[in-house]
Amino acid sequence: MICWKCHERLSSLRCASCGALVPPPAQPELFGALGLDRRYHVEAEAIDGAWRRRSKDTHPDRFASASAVERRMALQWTATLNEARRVLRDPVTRAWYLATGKPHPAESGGPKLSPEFLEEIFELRMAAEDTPGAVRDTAAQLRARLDADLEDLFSRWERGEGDLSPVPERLSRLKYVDNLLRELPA
Amino acid sequence: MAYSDKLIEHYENPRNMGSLDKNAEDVGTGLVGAPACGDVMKLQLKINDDGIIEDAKFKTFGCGSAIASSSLVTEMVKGKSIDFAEGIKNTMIAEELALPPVKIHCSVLAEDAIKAAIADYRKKQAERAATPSE
Repeated sequence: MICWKCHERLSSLRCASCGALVPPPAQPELFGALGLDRRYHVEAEAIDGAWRRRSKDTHPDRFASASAVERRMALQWTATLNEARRVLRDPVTRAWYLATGKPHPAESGGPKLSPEFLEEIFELRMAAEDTPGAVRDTAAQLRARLDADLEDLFSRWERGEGDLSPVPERLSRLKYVDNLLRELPA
Repeated sequence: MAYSDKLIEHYENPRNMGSLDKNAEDVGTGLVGAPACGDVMKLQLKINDDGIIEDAKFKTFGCGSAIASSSLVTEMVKGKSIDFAEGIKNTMIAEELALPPVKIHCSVLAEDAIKAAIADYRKKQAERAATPSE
């Protein structure tokens, strides 16, 4: 990529020669915005590091005396990088993003869950008041199984096998189980 | 965020909480969930041979808006016909409770629950009609 302003070859978001900023993408791909590969398996530290490096290049303070267009571009980069960090740092929003391009499901609609699963969650909820310990154990097992399932789906996808179409359904189940776990009486 | 008095009232004093016998022939059960928030709502209707809803019960595990939506909807359908209940739209619930935009999906859940309960009742009736009486 070359600089839009001085046509110098670029090695970061900011031109080493003239200091101009790469225009922020209108519809940013969040991994790309941080200069990372699209992967589920990524350490939080790697995301923080990429965010810090790129934020340094695009920080609005560096463009305080630049043109209005460049000041605007710096602001937009900051917003994009912050969003990328927020969405990709959390494994659940990262998984949603990889599978659907959105960090979470739509308000209504979303994957249809089996009546059996809803029944199971409802029964666990009903039992939660009387036997919270047993419900906690069952819910923790459900959680572990879903985690293993997601782990497997993403590992295979990263090796170029299979696709991520079953992911939204698994993540939706995860949401029910996490809500249940969170609201269990201590 | 400010919630309406009506919503708070239904949340603090939910009407028709509880359950009916899900195996009874005249009871339809709807169990629905909202993947976005992980709420679950069970709504049951006891319907007589004239198609009138004699009783309605619900149990909801979810936020205040979901509880208030299900409470309101049981109140709306009690004593009414199946046809009326089927015509209930989530917008009626959302308006009545003045739900904020981020909570509209709670009223959708309540509409879905009513529809699911009626569908379950109809299925039972069809099965009963298909089974020769002894």
